[in-house]
Amino acid sequence: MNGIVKKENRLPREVWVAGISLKGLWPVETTEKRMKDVLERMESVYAFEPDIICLPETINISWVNESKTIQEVAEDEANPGPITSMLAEVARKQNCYITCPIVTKKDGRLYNSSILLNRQGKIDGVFHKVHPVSTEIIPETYYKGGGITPGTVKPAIYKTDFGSVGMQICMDAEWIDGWHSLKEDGAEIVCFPSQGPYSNTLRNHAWVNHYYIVSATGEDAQVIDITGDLIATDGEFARWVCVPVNLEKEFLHIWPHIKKFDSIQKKYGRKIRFKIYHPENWATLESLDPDIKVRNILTEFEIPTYDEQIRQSASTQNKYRLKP
Amino acid sequence: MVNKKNVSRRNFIRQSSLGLSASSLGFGAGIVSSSVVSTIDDVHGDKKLPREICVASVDLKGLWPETRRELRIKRILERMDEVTGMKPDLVCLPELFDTSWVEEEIPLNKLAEDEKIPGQVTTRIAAFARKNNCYVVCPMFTKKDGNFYNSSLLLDRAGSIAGVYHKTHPTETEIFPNQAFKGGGTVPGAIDQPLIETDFGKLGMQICYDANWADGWDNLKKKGADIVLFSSQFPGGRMLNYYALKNEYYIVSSTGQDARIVDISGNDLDCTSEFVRYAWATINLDKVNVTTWPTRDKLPGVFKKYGDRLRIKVWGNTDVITIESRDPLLKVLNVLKEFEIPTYADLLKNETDVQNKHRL
Repeated sequence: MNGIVKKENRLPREVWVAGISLKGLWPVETTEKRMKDVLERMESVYAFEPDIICLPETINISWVNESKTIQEVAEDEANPGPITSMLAEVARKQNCYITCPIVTKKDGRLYNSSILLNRQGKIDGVFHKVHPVSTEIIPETYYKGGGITPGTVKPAIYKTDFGSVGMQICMDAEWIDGWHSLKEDGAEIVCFPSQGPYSNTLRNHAWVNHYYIVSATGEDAQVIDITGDLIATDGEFARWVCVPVNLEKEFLHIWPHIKKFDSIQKKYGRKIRFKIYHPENWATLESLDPDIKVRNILTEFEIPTYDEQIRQSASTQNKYRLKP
Repeated sequence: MVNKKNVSRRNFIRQSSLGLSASSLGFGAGIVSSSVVSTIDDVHGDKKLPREICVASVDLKGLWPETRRELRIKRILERMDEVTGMKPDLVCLPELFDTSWVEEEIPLNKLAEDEKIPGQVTTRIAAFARKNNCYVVCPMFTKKDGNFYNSSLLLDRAGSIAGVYHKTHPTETEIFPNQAFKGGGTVPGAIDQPLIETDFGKLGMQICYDANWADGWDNLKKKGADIVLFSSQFPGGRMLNYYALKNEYYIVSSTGQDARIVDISGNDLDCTSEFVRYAWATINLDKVNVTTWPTRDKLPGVFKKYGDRLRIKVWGNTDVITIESRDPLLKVLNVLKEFEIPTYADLLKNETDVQNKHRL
């Protein structure tokens, strides 16, 4: 785990993200016991002063034996119910955002949701699982007393005080539409509450879309880099992760710009960090200095981001491609 | 050099490579031994399954820079010779294998060969294909209707040109005349290019910078590619693992740094290493991906009925289970039907239909 860095000493775009795994906490008899266990586990990350904590899918009912109808457990999206209120209090006390994944109700419909609570414990937004499995949708199959409605395929992103956050839930990992939509809308971090871990699948979504992913699942909790590299994972002796991610970081193709990397490093020294991904011919460049913006360096040395380069190349290719 | 147990260094390396392939396949519990035996049998061509083939690939590592083109071709042919013991059905070569990182400067119009009538280099690779009764991916410059292309020719077992792929996404320096290439530039290939039919399945091709765009890879999936051949200067790394899993086809890569065989599950089956500059594997085209959920509940019944007639691998690093038939009389799709297990693609389609029906 990373050492504790007090907020006042952090970089301007350094965000401490935490994920809590549900491993070892299921099955359990009651929701009350589940929430007690989860709150205890969350306490491990408070010392790091996290900016956001991600919790697993349907945190209060996944693998809970207590039999309640979906109507009984669903909470209103406008007026916080018992689970939302419980976690809102944590958000307030710890001065952090929390993704609170529960079943919600809105306009007579039920959703498998992830509520984003802000540092004041207020609801900043609600994400509805885009691709619930059919057993969740069809009433009385998975849920007693009803079924849930799939969310829009173009989910919203939420502007927080540290950056843009998107969410996806569990089986959403199998479809690319929601992930692409979040990228198009500028998500920098995607929180992924889930029952299943989807390890490599998440890593692929991260590098394809160049955003960080924080997962909290029934099996594990992970933080994934914009390159798909695993930054941190939970394990047998710590069922949580809490690490910094730097949003002042860009994803690059190395050709032909790698010829300039030495000059840039020479000029900026320890104030920046390059990481080269040799097999993929990628690189990342991040700023380690509060006064240095990566975009300014790229402009100074005439280096496009990966996405800009691919767009430019495609434009040239289309110009020279023969018409069918 | 042969020791008392008749194990030469070369055979030792081959056996090590075999071991690597077998272990990386990660056979299901209780069927490891039989799988390894059948792999060895397959090498000698004794017990091939109906849709099982041997694919091989050589990389360029250690062969560059090279001073002269002729030396490069000679060395590639030597490296290709090393895989002939596996009796491959298909051999893949790296992008522009005769000119990549070769110092001798030859203008494009002298390098580029006709796409119908084999030229000087194609003829030599075709002779290898004929002699070894295999298909060969021969990546080189071609010319057609006055235009140059960065291409991959597919040569069939008779050494004839079975098809050609034009790199869809060349870099700008390849396109603009006299930048990357002396005496001209290459034209980007069409986005939609046909698959090439072989006697074992449908092949698609991609080249180098193409890895940065999903369009070509997705298109090959839509057309039903069984295997995609990736000839390149750069290795591609995790991008290839992603495309293989996403599109459920095998990828055989041959690059300036490595050569790999990537499974439909997105996992490497074999990869070149410091002492072995070729990769190979027997792969079964009668193999499908299914999702862990809801298949996992049905696996005990499948195992109980079919045992080692199927090879089932639950991959821990994705949400995928691969199922392949090890019995010529058993078709995987029939097993799935019997146990009402949807393929990965069918499951997503069915689930999408239900979601769209209920979405506001």
